[in-house]
Amino acid sequence: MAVAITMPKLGLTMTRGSVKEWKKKIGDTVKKGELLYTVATDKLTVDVESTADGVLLAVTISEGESVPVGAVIGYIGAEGEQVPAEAAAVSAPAPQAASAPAPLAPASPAAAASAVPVARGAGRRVPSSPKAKKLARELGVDLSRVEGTGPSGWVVARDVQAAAAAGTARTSPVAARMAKEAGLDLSAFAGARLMKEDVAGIAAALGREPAERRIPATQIRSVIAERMTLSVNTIPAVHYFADVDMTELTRLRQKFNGLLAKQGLKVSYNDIFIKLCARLLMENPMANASVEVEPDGSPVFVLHGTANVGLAVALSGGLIVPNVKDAQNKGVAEIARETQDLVQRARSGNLTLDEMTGGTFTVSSLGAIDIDSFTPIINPPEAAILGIGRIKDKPVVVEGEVVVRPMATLCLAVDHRLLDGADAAQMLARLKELVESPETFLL
Amino acid sequence: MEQPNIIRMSARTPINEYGGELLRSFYETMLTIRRFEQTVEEHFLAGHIPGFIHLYIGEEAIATGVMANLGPADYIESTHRGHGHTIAKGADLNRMMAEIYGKKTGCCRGKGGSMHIADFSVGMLGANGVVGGGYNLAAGSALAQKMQGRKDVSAVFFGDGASNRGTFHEAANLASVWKLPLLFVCEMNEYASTTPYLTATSVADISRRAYGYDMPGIIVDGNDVFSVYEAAGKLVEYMRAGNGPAFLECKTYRVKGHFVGDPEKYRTREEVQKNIDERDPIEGFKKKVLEAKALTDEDLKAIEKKVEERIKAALRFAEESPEPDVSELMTGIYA
Amino acid sequence: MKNITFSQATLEAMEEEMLRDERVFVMGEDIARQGGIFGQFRGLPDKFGRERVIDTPISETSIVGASVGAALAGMRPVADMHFADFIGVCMDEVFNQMAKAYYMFGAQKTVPLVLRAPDGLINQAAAQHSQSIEAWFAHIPGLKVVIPSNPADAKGLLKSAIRDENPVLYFEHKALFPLTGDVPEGDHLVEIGKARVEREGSDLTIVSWSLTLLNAAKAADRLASEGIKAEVIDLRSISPWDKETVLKSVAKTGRLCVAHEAVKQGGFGAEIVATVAEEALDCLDAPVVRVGAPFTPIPFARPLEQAYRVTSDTIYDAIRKIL
Repeated sequence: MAVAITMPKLGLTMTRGSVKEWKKKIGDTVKKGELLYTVATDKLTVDVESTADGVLLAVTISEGESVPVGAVIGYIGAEGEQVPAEAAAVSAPAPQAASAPAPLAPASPAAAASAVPVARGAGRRVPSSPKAKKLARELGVDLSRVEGTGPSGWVVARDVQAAAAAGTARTSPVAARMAKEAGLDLSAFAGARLMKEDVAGIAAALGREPAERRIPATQIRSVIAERMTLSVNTIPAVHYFADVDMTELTRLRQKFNGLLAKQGLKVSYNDIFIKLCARLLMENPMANASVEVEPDGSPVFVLHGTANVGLAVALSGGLIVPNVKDAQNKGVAEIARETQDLVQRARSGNLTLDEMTGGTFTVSSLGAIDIDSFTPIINPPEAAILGIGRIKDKPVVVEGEVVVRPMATLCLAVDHRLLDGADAAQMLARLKELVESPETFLL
Repeated sequence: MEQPNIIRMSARTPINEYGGELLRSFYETMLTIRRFEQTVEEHFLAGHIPGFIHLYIGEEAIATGVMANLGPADYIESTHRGHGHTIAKGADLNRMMAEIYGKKTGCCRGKGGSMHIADFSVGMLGANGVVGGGYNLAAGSALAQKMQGRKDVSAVFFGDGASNRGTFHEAANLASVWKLPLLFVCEMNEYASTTPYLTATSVADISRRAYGYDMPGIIVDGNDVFSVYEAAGKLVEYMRAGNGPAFLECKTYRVKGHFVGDPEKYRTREEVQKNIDERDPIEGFKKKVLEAKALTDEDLKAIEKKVEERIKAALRFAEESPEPDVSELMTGIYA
Repeated sequence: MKNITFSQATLEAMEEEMLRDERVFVMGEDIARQGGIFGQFRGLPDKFGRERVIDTPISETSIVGASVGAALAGMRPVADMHFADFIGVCMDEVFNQMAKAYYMFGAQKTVPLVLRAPDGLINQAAAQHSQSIEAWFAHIPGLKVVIPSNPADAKGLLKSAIRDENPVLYFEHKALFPLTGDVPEGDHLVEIGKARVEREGSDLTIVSWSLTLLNAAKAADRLASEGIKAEVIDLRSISPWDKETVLKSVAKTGRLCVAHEAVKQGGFGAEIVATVAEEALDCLDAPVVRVGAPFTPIPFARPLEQAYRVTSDTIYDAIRKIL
C-alpha cells in the first residue's frame, strides 16, 4: 500500500507550506529518516525526513506551490506500485516538465504579419526528436520555425544547431518570456543573440511596451502580506514618539566594545535596546502580552512570563524576525553574541522554526539607512513594537544652553486594547530615561 | 518370459525383535508428523497461515519407514505434500513451521513456503510445487553421489498422479541405464488431486511400470510402518551395493483433501471414515506394539508428551518470529 | 593468441575448466561417441573419460533435470542441447527448477550449471531446428544468458559461465562454429554482463549479438564508406545486460538500431529500446529502429528462408531510414 506524504505541520502557527526542493527523484529508493524534501514555511525552510521506507512513487504538487498542512504532496511505496487515481493524474508529468519553457508564439495575427517572411508558420506542432527539443530549449530556438531534415521530416539536433547559428534569433530564457508576454515575433532578428534589454528595446520601438506582469507571491511575501494585514485590521495601534539623547548610550556602547574587543564581539545599539526593552517589558506586563479571543467573542489577555525580544532583519526576499528568548535574563554581551548568530543564519536561511516564533516584542531599526523616524506595524500577536531612527547630531537646549547632542527619534507602537495612552506614554518616558541615564537600570 | 521382478511383501521380523529404540523412533516420527499437520491445518483454517497447504495425514508410515533406512548423506526429493518427508528426514521443526508461516526464520527464509520447503543440511533437497518435478532432480543427485564415489542414495517421493508425468519415464530410464542409486517411492494414495487413480492410470499397480525399466520393485501396505521399513531396507541395501535404481510402491490413502479447503465432492464421507477407522497407521502401530508388549502405554505416553512440547515450541517459534524485511525481496536471486 | 575456430574455442574452454575443477562434467546427446553434432566436443572423452563426458538418452527433461539435481548435490554440470529449440521439451526444468531453486529455498544452495544451446539459422533446418530464443530466458529471474559472436568471447564466456555459481544459458550460433578468430591462450575470462564495443563511432549506435553482429558490422562498413560513423556494440550477455555501455553510446550518438536474428516482436531488442526510452529519451535524435525476423515460424524453402533472415542489407536499409 502506497503511503501518502503530507505537508507536515512544522510549528504551532504553520498553516500552509510549499515544497522548495525534492531531494529524491520519482523512482528513487528512500529510507525512513533520510532527507526527502525541503519545505518552505513561514519565512524559513526546513529539511524534512521520510517517514517511510520505499520508492518515491509520485509527487503531487509542483515545486513552490503552496498547500495547506496535511495536504498530500506525494506517495512512497513499493517499486511499481500504483498510487491512488486522483494522485496519478497530477503526478504523471516528470518533475522537470514543469520547468520547460513554452516556445515563442505570436500573441496576435498582427505580430505575425509584421515579421519578416519565414519558411514555416510559427506555433505549429513540429515533429522533432527529443534531443532536438532539449537542444532548442537550451539554445532558445523556436522549434516551430525550424525546417526538419531528419527522418519523416523530423527536426533533429543538427537542424536546431543550424537554426541557432544562422536562422532564428536566439534568446535568453528571460528574453524569450518577455517576448512572449509582449507578443513579439523575433524571427526578423535571425542570427542575433537577444537578451532582455534587446527585447525591451524592440518592444518599445514597436510601440508595444511589455505588458503588465503578474507574478505569484513567494511564500515569504504571502506570509508578510497575511500578517501585516491581520495586524492593521485587528490591532488598534497608537504611535508615541520621543526624541532621545544618545550621548550616554553611545559612550556605554564604546565601553562595552572596548571590554569585549578581546572576545571579538561587537555590541550594536540594537543589542542594548533589546536589553533595555526586556527590562521595560518586565516592568509593564501589559506590554508583554497577547490578545486572544474566547469562543464567545470576549477578549482575553495572555501575559507572557519572559521577554522574547525580536529583531527585524531585512533580507532581499522579505523581512524576518528572529527573537532573543529570555532577554530579561541575559546580559548585553550574551544578547550581542546571539543576535550576531541569528542575523548571520537568517541571511543564510538556516534559522530554526523555534527561533522565528514565540516573540513577545519587536525592535526595528532603520538608522543604518538614514531614516529619521517611522511608524512600525505591530507584529501580531505581540502587543508593541519599537521603531528606532538614525542617530544624528542636533542642537538641543540643555540647562538653558544650546548644545549639540547625538539625538534619535524613537517610536513606540502599542495595541490600545492592552495599554491606554498614559500607560504607553509612561513606558516610552521610562525608556527615554533608561537611554539617557543607563545607570538608572541598576537602581 | 523373464520372472517379474516386482513382489508383494509384508513385514517378516517379529515386532519384539525390532528393539525399543527403533520402535520408539517410529512412533515419535509418525506422531510428530500427525501433530504437526493437525496444527498446521488448525492454524491455516484460522487464517494464520497463508498460501496452499497439502496435508500428509494418514500417510505417515511411508516417510517414517523409508527415512529410517536413510542417513544425512542420502538425499530426498519431495512433493507439494512434503511436510512428512521433511520431518522424517530430520529437519528442524521450528524452522519448518516458521517457513510455513512465511517468517524470516524459516528454513527457506520465508521465500518458499509449504510447497517449497527444503533443508539441505539434512539432505532434504526440496519439495516441488510441480507434480513430477522431482524425479530428474533426484536422478541428478544420485548421479552426483555415484560420480563422487559415495555409497549414498537418493530417494524421490511421488504420488499415483505424478506417475503419469513423462518425467517419471525419462528419469526411470536414465536411472536404470546408468545404474543410479535412486529409490522411487510411490505413495499410492488413490487420488490424483480429485481424480480417482484408476480413471487416469493404465495400471492398477503402478510398480508394474518398473518392469519397463528393469528395476526391482516391492509393493507394501503403506500404512504399515513395519512393512515399509523392511521393504525400503531391502531396496536401499540393493542400491548401496551399486545395483541401480529400485521401486517401492506403498498402498495408502489420502485421508485429507488434496489441499486444506478441498470440498471433496469426488468421494463419500463414509469411504474416508472407513479408511480412518480401519487403516490408520498410528493406531495400527500402537495396537501391534502393545499386543506384542514391545512397548508399554507409559512408553507411548512419554513420547506423546515430548511430541506435544516440540509442536508447541515450533508453533511459538513461528508465531513469534518476524516476517522477512521487504529489503529481502531482491536478495538471494543470484549468488 | 592463436587462430582457432569458435568450436575449438569452446572445446578449449571445456578442457581447461574440466582440468581445473573435477566437479565439472558434461552430458548431452551424442557428445561422447560422436563428439557433438557440430564437433564441439571432439576429443573430450579421450581426455576425461566417459564418466565425465556422458552420452545421454534422448531425454532433455532428464538432461536438464539431472543437471539441476547434480548441481544441488555439489557438482558443476554442463548440459548440452542438440538444438536450442529442444529446450521447449524441458522448460519446466529450466524455469521452475533451475532458475528458482536458489531463491525459493532461501539461498541454501547455488545451482552452478551451464546449459549449452546451439541456436540460429543454418542450412534450411526449418521451423524446429533454427530458432533464436534468447529473449525467453531474459524474462526469467535467476537465470543468466550469454551469447558470444566470436571465438575469443566463446571461450571467455564459457569459462566464466562454468565458474559462475548461477545457472547460465549459453547460446552458440550454429553458423559461428566454423568461423575462426584470434583467441587468447590460457585463462581467458569474459565477464558476464559486460558488452564489448566492436567499433567506435559518433553518428549512430548499433546494438547486436551472436551471428547478427557480423551482419551489423558489415552494415557499419557500408555506412562508413558513405561517411557515417556507426558505433557497434556486441552485447554478449543478454541477462544481465550492459545497460551502461548502451546508454553511454546512445548519449553520444543520439541514434539507436538494435538488430537480432530472433523474431522482432517481443525480442530482446524491445527491452533495450524500452530502457533507452525510459532513461535516455532526450538523448535520441531520431526514432529508434529494431531489426529482427518477421513474425512467422521459420520456413524451409530457400527463398522463404532467405527472406526471413536478418542480413547486413536489412540492417543497412533500416538504419538509412533514421539518418
